[in-house]
Amino acid sequence: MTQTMIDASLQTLYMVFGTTFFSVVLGFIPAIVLTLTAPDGLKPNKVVYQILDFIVNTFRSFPFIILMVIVIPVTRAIAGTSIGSTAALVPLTISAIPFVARVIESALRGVDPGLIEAAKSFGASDMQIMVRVYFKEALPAILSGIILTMISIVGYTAMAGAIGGGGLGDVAIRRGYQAYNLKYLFVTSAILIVFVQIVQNIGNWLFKKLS
Amino acid sequence: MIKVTNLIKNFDELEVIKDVSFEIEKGDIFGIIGQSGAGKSTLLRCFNGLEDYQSGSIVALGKEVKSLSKKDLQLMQKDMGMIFQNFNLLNRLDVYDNIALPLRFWKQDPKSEENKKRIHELLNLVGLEEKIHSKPRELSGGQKQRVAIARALVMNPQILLCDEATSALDPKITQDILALLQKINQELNITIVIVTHQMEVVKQICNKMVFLKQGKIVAQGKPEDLFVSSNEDILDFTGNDADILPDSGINIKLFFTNSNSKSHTITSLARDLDIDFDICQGKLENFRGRILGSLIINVEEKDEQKVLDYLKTCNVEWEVL
Repeated sequence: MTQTMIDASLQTLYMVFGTTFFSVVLGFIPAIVLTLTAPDGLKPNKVVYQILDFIVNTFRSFPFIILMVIVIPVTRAIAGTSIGSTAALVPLTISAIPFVARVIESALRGVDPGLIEAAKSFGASDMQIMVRVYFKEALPAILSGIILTMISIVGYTAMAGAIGGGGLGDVAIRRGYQAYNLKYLFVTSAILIVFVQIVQNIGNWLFKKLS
Repeated sequence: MIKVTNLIKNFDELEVIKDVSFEIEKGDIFGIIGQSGAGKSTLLRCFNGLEDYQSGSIVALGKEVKSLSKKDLQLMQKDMGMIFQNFNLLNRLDVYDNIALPLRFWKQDPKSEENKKRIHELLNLVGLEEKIHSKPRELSGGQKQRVAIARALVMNPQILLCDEATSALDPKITQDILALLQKINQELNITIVIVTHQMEVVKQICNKMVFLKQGKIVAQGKPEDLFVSSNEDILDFTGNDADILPDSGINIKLFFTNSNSKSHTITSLARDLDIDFDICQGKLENFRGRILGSLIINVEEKDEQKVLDYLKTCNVEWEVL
């Protein structure tokens, strides 16, 4: 049982960190575009904003379990297979991108508009305002948003087990629920709780330190 | 420095600035005063291109603001520092880095010897040397505004725009900030434009002002002249005294300027005419060190003509309320 648990924990960690990494990298782009083109942004553009807004909302409202099945062809194209932890990164990332985009967008748009105006009044370019004001000021909020994303990804990885993604969720379902072995259910739950606590505490500490 | 001619500005359908013209000259401390929603902050933002305008002209530092390319507008903004009601400092930067922010926008090294010296000079000017590494949240409102002033001056601007810069501060701190602005005007020879709804601010440091009401200029000139003249809108703004005066008899308001403040108009009025009257209200006001006073007296109706005839012979301005 110990070995099963260690393997499953490592798979979960791999999926959580991998998904967080890719979704943050890819989620930044729509977040920046949304911030720039918002009605109160630096380059307001109704059409671009509303289209992107619609796409983000659509993907966010997709139940993950269904999305996972729908994107199987994409998963195969990218990962070469649709089974395993690496393959699970594809649907996990696709579902986390809109979430990350929203979280970063709301962090950026939470920056006091007065700061943006002050920067403009000193002759800053849009690029400088984005980097030196928006990101600089919103960094703690962005980080705490990423922590929030990580924690909800932990939940999604459990479902990834359903298409052979492995991980603690998979063990809990197959050995704990289907084989009715309560011990597995307890231990996997305990590991997940501890993991979420650690992540949240690191997040809180970072937020405090940065802001 | 800044010449505004027939300026009109709309927000969609709403006309917020209606055919406004005036000129700000080098060395002025120019006040734009009016109630909230009068369009004063919008007007100020037209000067440095934060807002555009629909017609008319603003020639600032010799150039028509509207016709500038983005690059040229940024160069002009470099020549116009700006401070705000809510200070608008970056919370995650310390005092030094906040002041250095415009330097970064202009691709200068904020840690170069020259710029270090510059920032230390500014900190010295605003009196915050020992707070150099403090974060904004560790500062009081007045200190934050001092940092904002240093930041606005770091690019050596010719003009400093102040948008309700003292409105979030208490009266004592307001005094200190006004004294600092005056010092900057005199020592660094920087033209200052102040937008405010506080009459006190204009009285204390402005040498010229316009009074804006619903996007229109209803009075302009020297603050002390506007104070003496009885412009309806200004009286309305400063709080009309008429409602607290006695209903019976005749109320007469006398204005004292430096030239006659020391003569004894009131006591000699009573002695020479041998009449009695009530003194209802009196106040002294300080206009950049020049003391102006006003006094409201209440005389009986039968004495009115006598008193008015007497006042005509005195070197004093007055009006019947």
